[in-house]
Amino acid sequence: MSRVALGPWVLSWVTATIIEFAVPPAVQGQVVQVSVVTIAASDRHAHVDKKLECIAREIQKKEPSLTGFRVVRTECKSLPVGTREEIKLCEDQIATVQIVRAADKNNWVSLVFKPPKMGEVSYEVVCGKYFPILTRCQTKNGERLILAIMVRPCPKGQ
Amino acid sequence: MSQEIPDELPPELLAAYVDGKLDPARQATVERWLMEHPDVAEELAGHHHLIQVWRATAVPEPSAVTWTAVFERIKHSLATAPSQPGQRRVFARLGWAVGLAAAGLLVALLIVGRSAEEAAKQLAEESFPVAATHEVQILGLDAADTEALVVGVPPSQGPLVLATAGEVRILSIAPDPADQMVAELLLAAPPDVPMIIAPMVPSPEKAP
Repeated sequence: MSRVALGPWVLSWVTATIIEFAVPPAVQGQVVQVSVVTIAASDRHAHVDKKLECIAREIQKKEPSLTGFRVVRTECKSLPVGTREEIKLCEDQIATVQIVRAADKNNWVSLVFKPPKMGEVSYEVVCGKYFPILTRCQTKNGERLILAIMVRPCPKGQ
Repeated sequence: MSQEIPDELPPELLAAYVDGKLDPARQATVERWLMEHPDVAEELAGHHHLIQVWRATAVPEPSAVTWTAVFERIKHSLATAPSQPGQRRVFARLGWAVGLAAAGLLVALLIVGRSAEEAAKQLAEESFPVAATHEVQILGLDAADTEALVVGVPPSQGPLVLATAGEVRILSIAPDPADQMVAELLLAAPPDVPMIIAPMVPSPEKAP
């Protein structure tokens, strides 16, 4: 197996290992609420849900053919730090999410998110804001799925 | 030959004699017997006189008009209040009794009705308690089912507020195990929104 092909696998293993051993036991009992909004983007209509105007504008900068945006489903789950959980999207599509670290003093949360037909994405984000992922999954109607992920709760004061 | 005069005559014969309903032969016999018995003759004469007086002074029968007027007055008297004090008391007592019975029935109906209404209300309250909005949290909902919500609010309300470039740090993006497709991180200059985009056509050469 070539080094190029092996590289991503090694990177994923290293990331998972770091996640397994780097989470302090003291934070294992913390719970973070994860909200995932499943959005369907279409090139067959131009109706944009009012709640999606901001994300539609950003998506269209990269994919101008996508003109219509609608919310398909919203799913919320409260996850203890360190546990991996499945999130229902639509049409039997699921994603997985794992909270690596709850909100720190600056309101940053660390998590690993795996959309369908994609590899895992490990990132940190401020709580209360949505981070969008334009997947290559399509519905039966040919709409492209966009996932917007947001984590809560936030520490007091925000 | 002369007829014999009996010692006694039956009373019916004497009454018939007084009424003049005897044949001539028996009438003669009764007259001969009365001649022998003057006291009875005197008594029978008194009866005969009384009958004659009765027949001479009989009360005339009222005419049809008189009878009609009397009947009308009787009907009018019955329809109006009793003229007699005793009848007024009877009707007053009857009226009080009917009134009290009606009042009692009305009160009973009100009590029963209110009890039934309260019972129905209590039954409805006990049988179908509905959670308030603050008592339910919707964790997952298809957008198409939002209108079906009776209580509670959808998980996502209002516009989606996106994280800006300074609010997201990507640590790693793993390739898709199926075809090694690596998603692209789009980090434009602020105030654009960072996002990850998976190309429809995989480009395994690209990596963050």
